[in-house]
Amino acid sequence: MFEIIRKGCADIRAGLGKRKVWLALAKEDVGDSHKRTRLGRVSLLLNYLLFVGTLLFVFGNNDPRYIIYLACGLLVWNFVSETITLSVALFFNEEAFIKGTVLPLSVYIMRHTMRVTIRAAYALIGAVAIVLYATGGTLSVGWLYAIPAMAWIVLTAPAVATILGLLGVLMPDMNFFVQNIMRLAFFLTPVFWYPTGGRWRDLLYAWNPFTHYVDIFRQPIMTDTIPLHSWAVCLAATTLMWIVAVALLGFYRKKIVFLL
Amino acid sequence: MVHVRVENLGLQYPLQKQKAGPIRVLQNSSASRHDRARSRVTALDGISFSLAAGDRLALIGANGAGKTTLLKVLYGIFEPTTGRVETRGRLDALFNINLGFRREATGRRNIELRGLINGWSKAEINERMDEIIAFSELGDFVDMPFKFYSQGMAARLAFATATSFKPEILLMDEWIGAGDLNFQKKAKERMTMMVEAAGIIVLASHNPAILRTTCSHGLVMERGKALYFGALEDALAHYEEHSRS
Repeated sequence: MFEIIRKGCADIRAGLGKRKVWLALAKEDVGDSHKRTRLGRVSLLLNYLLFVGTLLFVFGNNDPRYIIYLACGLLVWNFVSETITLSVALFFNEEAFIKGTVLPLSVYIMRHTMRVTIRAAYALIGAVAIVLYATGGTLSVGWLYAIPAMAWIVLTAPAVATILGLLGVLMPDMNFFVQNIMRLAFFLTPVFWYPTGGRWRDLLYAWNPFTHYVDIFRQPIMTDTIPLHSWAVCLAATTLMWIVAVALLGFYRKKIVFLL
Repeated sequence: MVHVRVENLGLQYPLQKQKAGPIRVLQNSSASRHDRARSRVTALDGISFSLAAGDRLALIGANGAGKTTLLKVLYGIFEPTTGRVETRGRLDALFNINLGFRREATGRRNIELRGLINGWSKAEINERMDEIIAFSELGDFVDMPFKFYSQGMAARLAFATATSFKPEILLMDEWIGAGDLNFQKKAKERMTMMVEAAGIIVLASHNPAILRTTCSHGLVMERGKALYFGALEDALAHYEEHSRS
């Protein structure tokens, strides 16, 4: 077991050493998806704004507090959802590289995280604008508490990508399940609804891990307070996921080439 | 000193449980589900040889003999199951020279990306940039997106980029060339220069003429096993004789 963890850590170290590779590839990936459009990368920002606008319109709720709640919730949700759904096919998409180069697997994992993070950065511009608009332009101290939350969420992404990426290779049907679970999870996570009213809502709020990742970012901005319970859940969950991810990486890093 | 040592090298890997495709055809249809899950392929078995500076090894054998697999083990893509591989010297491989080229990026950007993937530093990329552009004869096209390139231009760029380094140990899966008659001549000269500059070469090819001009030693392979290792002419003779029988 120690040897597996050591190999996993070595892969990550080597991957971090190759950061120029994954940074460049991620930048190209994001650029490529908009190369032929007139809107270009602005469409990433518009997508987000349209989504927030649509939900506000559908629910007919223009309370500034709800606008902030929704804007922050959707920002985190989009990042989490994109990280998870794209992770499953991660290594399949890199098959040619994995079979043709000796780059560490973590290069592909970081490329994926970076790609999702760059895309989220455009939505972040929209989120900041919406929150400033809703609060009348005042910045509270809560924004500072949200920064480590954002960092922690991004730090969780490579672990999630490793686990789901490898599971996706071992069980190709995962893609189908993950797509559908995430679609359902959007409705089961308090992104656009308040967790007040009814036993089910409260239960979903407490036991849904996504809730806590949304809350460590959203609650400080909403109330200037730090959600300690949610932070505890997120710290534990991310640490656990990283342990599993490093072990899986150590075990499969040289086996994956035969499984693709 | 540059060297390659391979001792009792073996590689086995699991056959995947595929729903379709050639692997399923290979599987014994009466095998139980459990057996199928555990079936393994022996791709390389008990291979040993040793190369010193100046040696040029030809991998000889029919398709499926394990030549490409052996090259990939030497490069580090596959980890051996048994035995060991020891290489000393800067190792480079010419396997899939088109890997990683992006349609939307310019030729210049593609050279940078390919360089990064190969592990070149920014300084090394800058140092080689002009030479690669000149060799590939792209002219102003180098600042246009790759997708506008003709097949010949794309092939020239891939070739020029892939062969712009100076490896100490060079692994090749088939001799590579590119472009029209004129460029082919240039490409051949460049390959010859690179091959002469490298300390050790391992080349898998079906072309005896290319092997004769390039290699000094031969390793004859069949079904993952080494049948013969020795001087090239003896190895080719052994292979011919073995193929006839």
